[in-house]
Amino acid sequence: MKRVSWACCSLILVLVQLALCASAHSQVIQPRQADVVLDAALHPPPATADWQAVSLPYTWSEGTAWHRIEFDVPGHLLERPWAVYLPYLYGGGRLMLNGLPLAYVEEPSAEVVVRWERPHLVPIPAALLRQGKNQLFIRVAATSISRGRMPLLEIGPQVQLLSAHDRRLFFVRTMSQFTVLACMIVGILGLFIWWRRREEALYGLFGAAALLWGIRTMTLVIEVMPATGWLFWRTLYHGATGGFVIVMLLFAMQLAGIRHGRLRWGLLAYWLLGPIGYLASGGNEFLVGTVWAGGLLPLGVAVLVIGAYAAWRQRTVALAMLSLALVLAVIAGFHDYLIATRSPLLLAVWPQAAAHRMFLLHYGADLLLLVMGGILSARLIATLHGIERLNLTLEARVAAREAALAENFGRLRSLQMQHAAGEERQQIMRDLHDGLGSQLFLTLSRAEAGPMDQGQIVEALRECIADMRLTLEAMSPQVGDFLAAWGNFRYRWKRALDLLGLASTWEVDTTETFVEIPPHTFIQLLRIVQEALTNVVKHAHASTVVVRLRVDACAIVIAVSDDGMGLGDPNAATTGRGLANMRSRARRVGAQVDIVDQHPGVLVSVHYRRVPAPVA
Amino acid sequence: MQHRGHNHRDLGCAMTISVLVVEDEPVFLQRFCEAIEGEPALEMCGSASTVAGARLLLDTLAPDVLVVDLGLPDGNGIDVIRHARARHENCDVLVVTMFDESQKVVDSIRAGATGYLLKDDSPGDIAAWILQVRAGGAPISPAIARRLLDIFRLSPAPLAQAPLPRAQDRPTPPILSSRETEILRLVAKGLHFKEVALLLRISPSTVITHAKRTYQKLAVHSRGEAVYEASQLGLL
Repeated sequence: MKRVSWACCSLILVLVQLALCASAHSQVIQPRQADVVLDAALHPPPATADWQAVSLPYTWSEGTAWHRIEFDVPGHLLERPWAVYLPYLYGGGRLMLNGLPLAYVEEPSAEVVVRWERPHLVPIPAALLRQGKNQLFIRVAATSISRGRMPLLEIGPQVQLLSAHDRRLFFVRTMSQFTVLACMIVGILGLFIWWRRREEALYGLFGAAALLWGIRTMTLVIEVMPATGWLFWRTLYHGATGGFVIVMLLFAMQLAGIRHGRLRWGLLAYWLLGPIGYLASGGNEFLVGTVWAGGLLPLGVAVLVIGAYAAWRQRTVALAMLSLALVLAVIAGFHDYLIATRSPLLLAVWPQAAAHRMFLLHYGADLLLLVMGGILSARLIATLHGIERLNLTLEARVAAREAALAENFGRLRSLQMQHAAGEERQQIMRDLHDGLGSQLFLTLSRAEAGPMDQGQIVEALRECIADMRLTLEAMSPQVGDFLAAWGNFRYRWKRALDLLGLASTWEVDTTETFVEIPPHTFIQLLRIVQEALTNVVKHAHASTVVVRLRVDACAIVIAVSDDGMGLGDPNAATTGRGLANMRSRARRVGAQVDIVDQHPGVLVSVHYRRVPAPVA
Repeated sequence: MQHRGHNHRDLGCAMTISVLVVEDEPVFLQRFCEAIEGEPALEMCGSASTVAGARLLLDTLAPDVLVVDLGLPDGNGIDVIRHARARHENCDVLVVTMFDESQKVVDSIRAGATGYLLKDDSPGDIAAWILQVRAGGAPISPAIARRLLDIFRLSPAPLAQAPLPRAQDRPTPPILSSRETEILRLVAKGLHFKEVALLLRISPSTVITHAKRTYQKLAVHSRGEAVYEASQLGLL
C-alpha cells in the first residue's frame, strides 16, 4: 500500500512540474480583443468597413460576422510551425491569414446541419506567416438554432498549442465516444438482466438510464448531419435527456422504497411532453430546449433530495455515494444550464468557465452511472454472499437433519430388534409353556390322581429333561445357527441311541456352514425329529435308524427312517396323538411333515421352506 | 500324567481307581456313589460337600479321580480343581454339570479339569466317563468344541461368529495342530470320537489323545494367561 501511494505521489509531482515547465516557456498569443463587422461575404470586408472592437469571447444572435485579429510574430520563432487553436467553432467558418485563405471548417447549409464539438487546431503554412504584424480574419455564422460564438482563441507554435487542443479533444469528443459505447453496452446488459428477471427493477432502470444517456451523448459525437434527419435527431435527443432524468428519479424512488404509481405516470407524461412538443412545434428549441428542459431541473433536484433522504434514513454507503454523485451531477447540470443560457450570474462569478464553454453534466452523468453500476454490483455481490451463507446454513441444516434421521432410524432399528428379540422370547416362553410346562403339569396331575409306576414317572421326567435340553441347546451362544443346534442334538441322540443298542446313521448334506433360522423355528423342527426318534425307540423295535439332514438355499429337509415294524394301526390312540403333535408343531413354523409307512419301518420327513433364500 | 495313565492301562485289572466325589446335593451324591460302586474298577474313597472339606480330603486321600460340582455352599468348585492340579498333579478332574454348560466346562478345563459329567447321566454312563478320563480320554460336546475353537481363534465355520472379543487382549494361545483342529470341527458338528476316528481313518485312541492334548493346551494357555495377568498386576 505504502509503495503504491508513494508511486502515486511521485507521479503527481512529476506531472505538476511538467505543467509548470510548459507554461513557463509559453510563447502562445491569446488575443483578448477582436474587431468585428457583420458581413456575410466570403471574403473579409475592407479595412474601411465598420469594424468595431469587441472582447473575446464574443457572442451575437443573428447573422454572419467577420473577426479581425492582429498579432506579432517574433523573428526567432518564424522557423517553427505555427498554428491557430480554436477551442470551439460550433458552426464552422473560414480563416484567412494576411489576405490568403488559411482553412475552411464546414458550415451549416441547406443540406447539412453542423455542430462541431471538437476543438480546431489550424496549422499555419510557413509561407503565410510574416515576421512582425500578421492579420487573421475569421468568418463565423450564427444559425437558426445557435447563436454566433467567437471563442477566445490562441495563436502560437503548434507544439505549444497541441496539448491544450488534445486535452479538450479528449474531454469533449473522445470521452463522449467512450461514454456512448460504454453506455450502450452497459445499458443493454442492464435491460437484458431486467428482461430475464422482471423483479430486478433497479437493473432495468439502470439499463434504461445508461442507454438514454448513451443516446443523448451521441449529440457530441455526431458533428455533421444531413438536414433531413435533424428534426428526428433532436426529438430523440430531447427524449433521451428527459428520459434520463426521469429514470434517475424512478431509480432513486425505488432505492428509497417510495412507491407512487400516479406520480410515475405523471413523470412519464412530462417526459413524453418534451419530444412530442418538439415534433409538434416543428423543432422549437426555445420551447423544449429551454422551457421544458428547465422543468427537468426540479426533477433532478428531487432525485437529489430523495437520494439524500434515503441515505440519511438507511445510512448505507451505496445511498451516500449516490447522493454525492447526484449533488455533483445537479451542480454540473446547473452549470451547463447557466452556460447554455449565458447567464449573467455565471459570467459574473466564473467568467473563465463561461469563456471555455466546457459542459460538465456529461461527466456528472458518467459519475452517476458509475455509482449506480457500483451499487448494483455491490447488491449482486451481497446477494451472492447471502446465497453462499444460505447454502452453508442449509447444508448444516440438512446435515443436522440427516444425523437426526439416522439417529431416529437407528433407534427404530434397535426398537425393532428389541421387538424381534421380545417376540423370539415370547415364542420360546410359549414353547416352554406348551411343551415342558404341560408335560410337567400332566405328570403332576397323574401323580396326584394316584400312585404312578416308577417307569412312567421316569419316562415322563426324561421327556421333560429332553425337552428342556432341546430348548437350552437352541438358546446356546451360537443361537441362530441351525447346524450348531443340530450338532448338539445329534451328539446327544447318537449317544442315547448307542446306549439303547440302536445303531444310528447321521448324514448331513449341505454346502453351507452357517444356517440362520429363528431359534424357535428350529426348536420345533428338532422337537419333531425328537418325537420321531422317541417313537422309534418306544414303538418300532428297530435295529437301525437313519437320520438325514439336507440343507440347501430353499429348504431344510430332515428325514428319519427306521427298519422297525412300521406304523401298525395309525388310528391307535398313542400313535395318532404323536403324529398329530408332530403335524401341529410343523404347522406352527410353516413346515410340512410326511409320515410314510414303508414296510419295513417308517419314514418321517420334515420339510421346511426357507424364506428368503440366502445370498449366494 | 500321561505316563501314569499308561501305567494304569497296563495295570488296569490289578488296581482300582480311587474316586473322590465333591457334591453338596445328597441325591446326586447318592447317584454318583451308586454309579461308582456299580463299577468294579472304581472305588469311592470319600465324599465332600464343601470346598474346605474337599481340600482336606484331597490332601489326605490323594484320589486318582476327583468328581467335583461347581456350585458349592462355601465357594466355587473351580478352587477345588486348582487345588487338585496344584497339589496332586496325577489326579484327573471331572466336572459335574447340570446340562452342557459349555462356559463352565471350559472354565473348568482352563483350571485343569479333563472332562465333565452330566447330572442326569445314567449310572453306567458316569462310570464309563470316569474310566475314559482315567484312560486318557476327555469327552467333548459339540458346544464345548465350538467354544474351544473360539478360544484358539479358529472359527468353527468360516461364517460363524468372530472369536470371542475377550480372547483378543490375551496372549496368543498355543496354536492347535491341523489334526486337532479338524477333530474339534467334526465334534462341533455333533460327531462322537468313534465317528471322527472312522471318518479320519485313525484309531479312536488317537482321537482321544488329540482331544486330551487340546485340553492340555488350553490349560497351558490359561496358566500363561495367569502369569500374564499376574505380571500385569505387578504381582510377579
